[in-house]
Amino acid sequence: MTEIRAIIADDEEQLVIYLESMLSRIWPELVVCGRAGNGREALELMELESPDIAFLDIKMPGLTGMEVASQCSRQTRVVFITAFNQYAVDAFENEAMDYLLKPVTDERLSKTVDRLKKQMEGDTPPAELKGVIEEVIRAVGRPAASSHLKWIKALHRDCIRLIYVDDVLFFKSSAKYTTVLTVDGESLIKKPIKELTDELDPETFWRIHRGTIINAGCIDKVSHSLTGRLAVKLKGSSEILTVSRSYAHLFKQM
Amino acid sequence: MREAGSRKSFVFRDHLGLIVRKYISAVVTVTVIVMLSSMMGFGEGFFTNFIIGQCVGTCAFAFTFTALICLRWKGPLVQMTGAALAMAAGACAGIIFGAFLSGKDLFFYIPEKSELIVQVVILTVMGGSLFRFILNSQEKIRQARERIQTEKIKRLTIEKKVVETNLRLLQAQIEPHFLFNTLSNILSLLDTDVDRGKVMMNDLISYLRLSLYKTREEMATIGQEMEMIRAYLNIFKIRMGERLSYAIDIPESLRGIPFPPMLIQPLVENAIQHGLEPRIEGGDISIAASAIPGKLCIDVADSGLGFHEGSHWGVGLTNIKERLDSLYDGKARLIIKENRPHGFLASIEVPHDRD
Repeated sequence: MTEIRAIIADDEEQLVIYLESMLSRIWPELVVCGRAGNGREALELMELESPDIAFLDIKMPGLTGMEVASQCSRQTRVVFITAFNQYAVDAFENEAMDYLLKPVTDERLSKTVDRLKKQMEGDTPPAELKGVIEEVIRAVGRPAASSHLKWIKALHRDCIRLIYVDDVLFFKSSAKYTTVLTVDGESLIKKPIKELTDELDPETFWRIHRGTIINAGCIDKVSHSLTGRLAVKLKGSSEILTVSRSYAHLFKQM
Repeated sequence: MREAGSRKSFVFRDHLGLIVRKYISAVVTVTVIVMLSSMMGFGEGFFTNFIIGQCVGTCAFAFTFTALICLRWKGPLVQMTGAALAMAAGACAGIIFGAFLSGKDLFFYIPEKSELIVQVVILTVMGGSLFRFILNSQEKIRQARERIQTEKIKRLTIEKKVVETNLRLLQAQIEPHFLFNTLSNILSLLDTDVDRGKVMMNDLISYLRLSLYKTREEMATIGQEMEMIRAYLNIFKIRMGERLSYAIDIPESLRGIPFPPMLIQPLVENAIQHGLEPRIEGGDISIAASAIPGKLCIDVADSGLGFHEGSHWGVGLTNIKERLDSLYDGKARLIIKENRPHGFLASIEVPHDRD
């Protein structure tokens, strides 16, 4: 029987050592032919060594274990290692995939080893993982709870800054950029007003003009001009912003 | 918020009820006044008195109303004077108009009744002002009630937010990913390097003790928070090895200052989770505290990936921001900047009186 070769990839070195020592106890015939500390190394190693088995940590810098498995062109049986919570683990409950939960126990590892041995003796080819992985990534990488924009990456003087959206008094479009005004002054972002309107919470951010979105929580005064136009003044800013007729309905009492 | 915005503007329709109420009371008052005056010597029939009364009431009301709209941004004293003058002018105009309507010859009528006219004008101004005062007080009481209601809603919303954040906080300190990864490392070290395993176990114990107990208290000190963060970073130092280095620089004088628990730790966690761990080369974290008059600043700088797409760094930051806002009533700030050449520089600024 030819020797069976495996690689182990985890960004935490101690865990690579640990898994290797566990494997040497449980499956002494297995040869660990490579160790990787990040996703890119792992992928290189898989292409280079073409191991029979790869133990891949899911959360790794460079590439995740999932990405490594789906990008690798070699026929390798993959066992994922993860410290994910139970909710995420449900996504792995799939025939094609095997996974180990951290901390890895002897008992659980033995089960995996038995399963691998059986597959190799029966000459079952490694499962095609690409489709399965894509599905899992979709399930695990669900969008954050709030879909509205919370933080805005903006250029403030010469420095990029994150601005919390509720701190914004108003957005105003200028030639190429959109100006963001906070109590700290002006910052610039590249996103056009139209795109912002869709991303901001419409309860708080009202578009009052083609080129203006205001934070309704910061309204100080609304007044009628002589021509019947509405004008808004915001707390913390001296600028008077006009409301175009098509957006005047926002100010009717609800 | 929507209501607050529109209440400031003057929308005629919203005030219609109030205006009608005011108008009716003005006309009734003035009719009574004119009736009273007529008994004193207008000497005309009921019909003439009634017409003059209606006209005086309507004109006084219309003049006052216009004056108040024109003076709506001015102070109360100006408004009061303006209203009184408008009432007087309205009363005069009303008498002239009423006399004209009842077919009097104004040229003779006005000089003849001048004394009475003066009386009517004075009584109108007095009566009108009294009514205005009463109605305004009622309006003020209504507004005050409404304000109390709004305050109540606001308070309840804040309380709800505090409960929510506390819950999130409790969940955050024993983040399963962190705990299980750390335990895996300790297990491994028990086989290979027992001494380091013990050190790591001790760091985990200090971190858990400090974070679990402190979260239940309102205030910790900066020193205690830093002790906890040191334990947390020591754990990551073993886990990440060469990929992580850190420095904590807190002046001795600031260690005893009270500070809300678990406010700096999430910044450090963010720096590791979204900055350093996903970066192949790793990097360093430096934490510093400084005090300037009126302000206390805590900076957490890392040399990790910084702003990059596809990362959920915003979730942790939003929690910190919301907690800061509720703890310091909007007087604290969280500033997130780009660190050069890469990474985040997060600063918390809280008000602080140094004494």
